[in-house]
Amino acid sequence: MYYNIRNKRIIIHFIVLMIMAVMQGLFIRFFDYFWGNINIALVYFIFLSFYLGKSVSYKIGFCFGLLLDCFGATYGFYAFIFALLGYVTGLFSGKFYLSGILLPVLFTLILSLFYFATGTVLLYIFFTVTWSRLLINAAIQTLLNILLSPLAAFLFRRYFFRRVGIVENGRQ
Amino acid sequence: MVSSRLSKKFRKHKDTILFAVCLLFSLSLLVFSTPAGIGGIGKIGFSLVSVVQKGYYGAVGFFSGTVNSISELKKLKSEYEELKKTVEENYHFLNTLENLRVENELLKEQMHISRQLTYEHITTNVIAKDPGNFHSYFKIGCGSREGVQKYMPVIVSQRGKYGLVGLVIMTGYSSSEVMPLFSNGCSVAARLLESRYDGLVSGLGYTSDYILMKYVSQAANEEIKIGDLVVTSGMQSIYPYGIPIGYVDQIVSGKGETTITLYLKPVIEFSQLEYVQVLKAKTPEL
Repeated sequence: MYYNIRNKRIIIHFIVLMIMAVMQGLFIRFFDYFWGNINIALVYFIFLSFYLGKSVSYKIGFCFGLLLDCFGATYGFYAFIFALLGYVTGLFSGKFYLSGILLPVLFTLILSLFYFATGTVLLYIFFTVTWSRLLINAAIQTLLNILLSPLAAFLFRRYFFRRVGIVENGRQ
Repeated sequence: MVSSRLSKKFRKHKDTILFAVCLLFSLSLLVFSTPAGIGGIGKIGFSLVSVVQKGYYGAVGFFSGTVNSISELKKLKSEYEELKKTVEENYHFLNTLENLRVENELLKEQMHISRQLTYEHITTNVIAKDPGNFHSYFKIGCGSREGVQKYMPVIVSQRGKYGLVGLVIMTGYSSSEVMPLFSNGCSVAARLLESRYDGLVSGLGYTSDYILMKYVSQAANEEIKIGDLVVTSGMQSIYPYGIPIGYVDQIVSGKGETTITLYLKPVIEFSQLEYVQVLKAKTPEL
């Protein structure tokens, strides 16, 4: 019974992630004027992974990444990044409590930078990197993600964490 | 025992293994879908993808080509049938055209000879020959309706030359029968054009290539040359004067005989008779 509810929740979160990715795609032009765009799907994924743990997160990340890749020209780019990000984020699951403002901000900052670092490495290996554009984009997006993180942390704490019934110490 | 240990280990590290598989899969996707990569791996991957894509498109192209070729084949077949029909029609048309051209030339020739003739005549064609009696009597396509009468002379023009064919021996309403010059029963009063000696020309039958000119004076023996032209003399009042009959080919002179016999080669080719002229005027003015 518990696993059924949990699986359903995971599917719903996955769908929400997809909707966010699509919305992000729709508004990307608007945010492009500022040389960077907010990545709400990334923030959502980071907090989701934190609460779900590594064993589920990298699977969701991999599937989500594959779907994102389907919209692009290359396959495996986002699948790799999100699978790795999900696994790494999941490692922190249950290690600390994301309360207040500072902790979610720091958490988002570190994982956003990790996200960009992984992406940059892949870009460097498989594509060509326009450093100026990439750095500005990373800086703006990380800043926007940080600004969004307290709200995300609050929402997750309030709704997702309690309803699914994940124990704070990481034991499921 | 070993397998149970392995399965236990796998269960223990299931997540890590699966995670590694996911990452490897993503990386391989990246390697295979990008033209650039680590060293030549990306290129190799890209080339392999290209090969697979080429193979895929080749296979798809082959099947679609095969399916298309069937419909194409049907279309080509119908086009081929149409073209075949057109070619056959054109071939028939060309044949008709060639026949018309030949006939036109023949008619032009007949027209030319008709204009040269100063007396009344009827141009007609040969409508029947007896197949069992080669070069014997033949029928022409005009009769009493056109004013043809018995014993009217018949001439023909071949390759610019005209010559005597024979005479009408029977007339019907719309056709007549002609006795050719080489027939055994045909006799024509003739004259050597150069030496002016007279004689009587008669046929040797359809099996011979020659006609005979008999009763030529022995005195002409020294004057006659091979190749001399023999024409009608006009003495019988059947044949007008001056119609070419043949060329002297052989001269036969018997000892103690008062006349000589000449073998003549006819001016015309009897096996090529097609259009002939029947001369109506009894007084020749050729």
